[in-house]
Amino acid sequence: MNKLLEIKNLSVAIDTHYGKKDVLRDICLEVYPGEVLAVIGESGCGKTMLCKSIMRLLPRSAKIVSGSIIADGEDITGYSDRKMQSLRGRLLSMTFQDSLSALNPALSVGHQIGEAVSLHRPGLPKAQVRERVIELLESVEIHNPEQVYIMYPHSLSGGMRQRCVIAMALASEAKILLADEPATALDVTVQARILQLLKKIQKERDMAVVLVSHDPGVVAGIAHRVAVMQEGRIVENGITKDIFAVPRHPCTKSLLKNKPDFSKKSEISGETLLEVKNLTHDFVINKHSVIRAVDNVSFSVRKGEIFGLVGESGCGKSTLARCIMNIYKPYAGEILYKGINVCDKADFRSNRKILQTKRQIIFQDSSSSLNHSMRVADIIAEPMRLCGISPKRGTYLKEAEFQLYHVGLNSDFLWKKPAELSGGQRQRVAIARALSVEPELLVADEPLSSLDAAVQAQIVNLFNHLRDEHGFSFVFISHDLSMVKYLCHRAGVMYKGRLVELAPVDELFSNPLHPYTRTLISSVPDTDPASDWLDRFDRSGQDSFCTEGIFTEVSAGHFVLMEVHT
Amino acid sequence: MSHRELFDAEAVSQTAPGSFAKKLADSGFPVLSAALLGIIVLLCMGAELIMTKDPSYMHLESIHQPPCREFIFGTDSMGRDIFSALWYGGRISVLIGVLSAVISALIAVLYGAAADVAPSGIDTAMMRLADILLSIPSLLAVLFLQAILGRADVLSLSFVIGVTSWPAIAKVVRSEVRRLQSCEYVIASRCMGGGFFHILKMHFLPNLLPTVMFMVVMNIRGAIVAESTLSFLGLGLPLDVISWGSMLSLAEKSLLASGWWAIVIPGVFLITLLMCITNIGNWLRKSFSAGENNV
Amino acid sequence: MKSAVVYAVKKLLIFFAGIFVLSIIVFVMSRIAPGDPLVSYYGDRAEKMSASEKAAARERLGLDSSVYIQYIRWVGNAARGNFGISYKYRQDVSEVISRRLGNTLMLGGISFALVFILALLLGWFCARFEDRLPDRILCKTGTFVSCIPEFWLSLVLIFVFAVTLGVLPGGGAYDPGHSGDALNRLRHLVLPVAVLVMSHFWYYAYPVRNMLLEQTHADYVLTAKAKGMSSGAVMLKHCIPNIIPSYISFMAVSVPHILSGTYIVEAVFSYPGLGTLAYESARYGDYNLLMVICLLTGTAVILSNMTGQAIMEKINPAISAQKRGENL
Repeated sequence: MNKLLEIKNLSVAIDTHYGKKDVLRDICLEVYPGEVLAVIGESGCGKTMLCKSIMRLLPRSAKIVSGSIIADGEDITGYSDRKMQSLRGRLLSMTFQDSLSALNPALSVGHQIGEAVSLHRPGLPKAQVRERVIELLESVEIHNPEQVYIMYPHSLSGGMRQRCVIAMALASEAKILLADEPATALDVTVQARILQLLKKIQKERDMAVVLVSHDPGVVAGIAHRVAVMQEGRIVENGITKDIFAVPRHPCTKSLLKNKPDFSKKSEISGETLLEVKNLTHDFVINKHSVIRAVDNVSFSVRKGEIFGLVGESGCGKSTLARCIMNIYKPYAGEILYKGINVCDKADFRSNRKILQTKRQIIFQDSSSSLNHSMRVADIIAEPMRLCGISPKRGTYLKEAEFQLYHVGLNSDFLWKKPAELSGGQRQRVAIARALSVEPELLVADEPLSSLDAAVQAQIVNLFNHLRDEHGFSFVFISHDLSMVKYLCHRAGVMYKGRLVELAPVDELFSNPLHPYTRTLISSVPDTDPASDWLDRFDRSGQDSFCTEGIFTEVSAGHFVLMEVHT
Repeated sequence: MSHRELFDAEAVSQTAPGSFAKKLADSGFPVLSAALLGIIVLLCMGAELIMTKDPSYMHLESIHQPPCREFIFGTDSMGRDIFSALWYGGRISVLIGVLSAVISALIAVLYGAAADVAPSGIDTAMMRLADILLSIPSLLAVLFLQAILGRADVLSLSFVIGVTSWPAIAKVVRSEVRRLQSCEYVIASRCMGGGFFHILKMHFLPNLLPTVMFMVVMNIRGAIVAESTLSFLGLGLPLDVISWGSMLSLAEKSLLASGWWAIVIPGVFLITLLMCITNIGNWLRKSFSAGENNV
Repeated sequence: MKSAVVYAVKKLLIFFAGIFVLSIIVFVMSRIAPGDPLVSYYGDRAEKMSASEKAAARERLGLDSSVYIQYIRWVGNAARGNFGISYKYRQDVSEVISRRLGNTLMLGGISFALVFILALLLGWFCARFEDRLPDRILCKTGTFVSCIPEFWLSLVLIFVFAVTLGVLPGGGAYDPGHSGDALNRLRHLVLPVAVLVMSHFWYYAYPVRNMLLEQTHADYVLTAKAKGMSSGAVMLKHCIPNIIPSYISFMAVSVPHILSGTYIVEAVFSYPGLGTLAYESARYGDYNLLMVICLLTGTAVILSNMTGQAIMEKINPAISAQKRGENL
């Protein structure tokens, strides 16, 4: 079979302030017609750079040092920009990671796709361009193409935008599609739908697709072959099944096995620490519109328990967390911490000390939750100073060092500022800060979502480990079901402000009752290439579920929002 | 399992602390500008030591001398020695610049803090008022105020320039405070029981300082320009109070007599000073915005 | 449709509230000012009046009543177009101003238009050569030129072109005996316009450059290129149209800056416009006149600010979307 794309010994370097830095080293790859090649690796390993070099869209500071790129029999390495223009879109096309910034915010979607259509067919009458755009929108399973045609990118949801970006890449019948993280930053159910779409399009058009992702689960169901990248090198390359079955390189092994070590979940006492009763919170936009972010939610957290809250973005998880921490004052309902009603002003005031020391929060974005002008030592000591706790180990500095050690950082970090740390290190500092006053309740609002997969696993291990040591209760909020499955004792599923299901984790995953929970669980990518989860995943595209009903206990500890049939 | 083993995947980077001077140069600190500015300001402060003549004495026998051995930079149309007047006048110009910037920063911070404490309705009204005050071109406002205050001296001029240039700072301070208030580390601090003064001291001041410093530096520059423009037009300092602006106000007469030195020399000094201040201000802005963006 | 009316009414209310506050500030300031207000009505005659004549005049003019009654009376007169008498010119203020307004509008308008176009072109050029030699040189030059005070630049240009070379006139609007001659008029405009353009367009080119760079670094530029568009076409069809609304609104907000410049340049070139008028009235304590000039300028500025804001809110869908996002 003829190779459609061949990359021979490609090396690319970037000029930085500190001299040349190699971003791609000696890359060899080939892509055959009608095949899906997956490129996986951690963030920063040069996957996107690789796509950009193939498209010859490298930033000016980056140069191809050696090697060649042969596309459809032509060596395009030395092609001028003008020559490349005729190839881009026609032979090669690319979709970019962030669909919001990949579309021009000031032009309608139809206009932008139309541009792609008419670029390679100049002189096509407007009516026909429009017809073609509608056809493209239909082919990416947009059911109301006429409406979407005139819409602007910001008024579309993330999934819809990604579909439009794919439609644009299909406009000129390119033979090779480079898809850079097409499913990242989307909710899990949407992610599964986009993957389904890609698979369908690839089969229908018999295109060659280079699929770039950091998540092996995403590519397992689609890719024929997989290339694993690490620090600009391809470290392993082969048939998907073989690589997933017998990973050879340590990097591949750690990518495939970036699940947390399964530690036995410790037993928990029956004592209730936190109780949330019929909590409701509204955001008032203006006189005419009010958004109910949290709607009649009740649950309780026992002492020493890890309680998970899952749901898509915008389902009210963060609002709930902030209500628990007294950042927002709930509109209705009660929150009892050790029997203290934290929403009641008088009750709060008389128990202020306990409430402020014994409950701590960890935020999603570690860069905005640490003050850039403070040193790590001061950041960690801040809650101790505030709560007037005298340091057990002599000085605040000693105490900070001790906490740092506990989250796995050495004392060199004491004098650093947050800007000098990586995302994972910053999140560790945030955890150390929260743990320094030895809280009984820790609320973590998506503590993993801004981190790399490997770092995520480390942090989850850390949480598990620290909980065993300190014995605090833990409300863990996440959109990632697999982490919840590993870490939590019980979990609640939220949808549009309602708690739709609540059960012990094992029960929840083996016997999901609410249709939304089922969709959510089936959309979790399976790293087994033989698994047909993608084909099994509900194709009807159900987007809305009933949020009316009564929260009833169906079996011991398993609650579900039941529709009331009249 | 030991703690260290858990995290070995994440490389611990260690950077050797460099010398202070090297760090400063690496951060793009405008060394040349700072040095020039330092020299000019020092010479102006010690004007008495290097002046060759009494700056306000009129050498009637040598009116309008081009630069020569006796008068290094020549004399103006009233026979005053430009070299001496330059240092002496620079002192007044710089003094007015600093004084008015301090006055405006003080008003701005007080106003911004008051708006922050006030209920939201009054807060909005206060910011609208600042908008309206900003809408009067500052030169007009200065003209108006100066006309009301009557004859200008160093203090009244600084006051007038300071009073008319605060709304811009106040608005920036206000929007920065708003941004900080929604920052998660401030929320976290509040959760831990951080009171108003704790948050002010630990979180607001260190983060506001670079912004305010940038605005103050730029205000010094603006005030020096305003002083020289006003004095040049004859609305600022009178002729007998020597400043760079009032020296230039004689320039129109020099023009007719082709006395380029009376225009060019004070002008070059003025522009050099402004340029140095601008560079330092830009560096300040860049260095604090870099701290935010690097994350 | 209904929301459009509500929007317009709201904007109008904000506009009038602004002018109301401004007029109060200006009026109170003019009353605090030293000097006998009678002088501003009667000029030298006021000094020759007897005490009883003065009292009668005060009563007639309403100067004996409290400040806010005076203010209401002043507003009532102003609404009928009567802003009082200019002491220096011994004429109605409105008449004095209307004679000069056209001149200022011409000078300011031409300079503004030139600054607008040149800044856009220069910013484009710099963005095109991002961080390469032409860009760096232009940016440094720009910082330098924007540090030169307008009055000094005017002096130097007068010295070179009017005094030394004698090719262009150094002041005024017409040569004596040439009033109404368009070509003569144009020759007089060259130097003031040159000063205004030179000292301002660098200042505005820099933000244009940065706005454009922000656009060219966005992913949608890569998407457009991946479709097969050339860099030039991407710049022309995507980047430039995207910055135009923010650029227009930015320029609208910058009106006071350029207006200040115009006033200074007018005063240096003794060009018969509002700036020279303001400068003279400040010198001679002609508060009636100064007050109206301030009010007029302030109104123009508030109007342009609001235009800028309205453009920002309406045209740019991304910005209004961000606003909506914040509300959530």
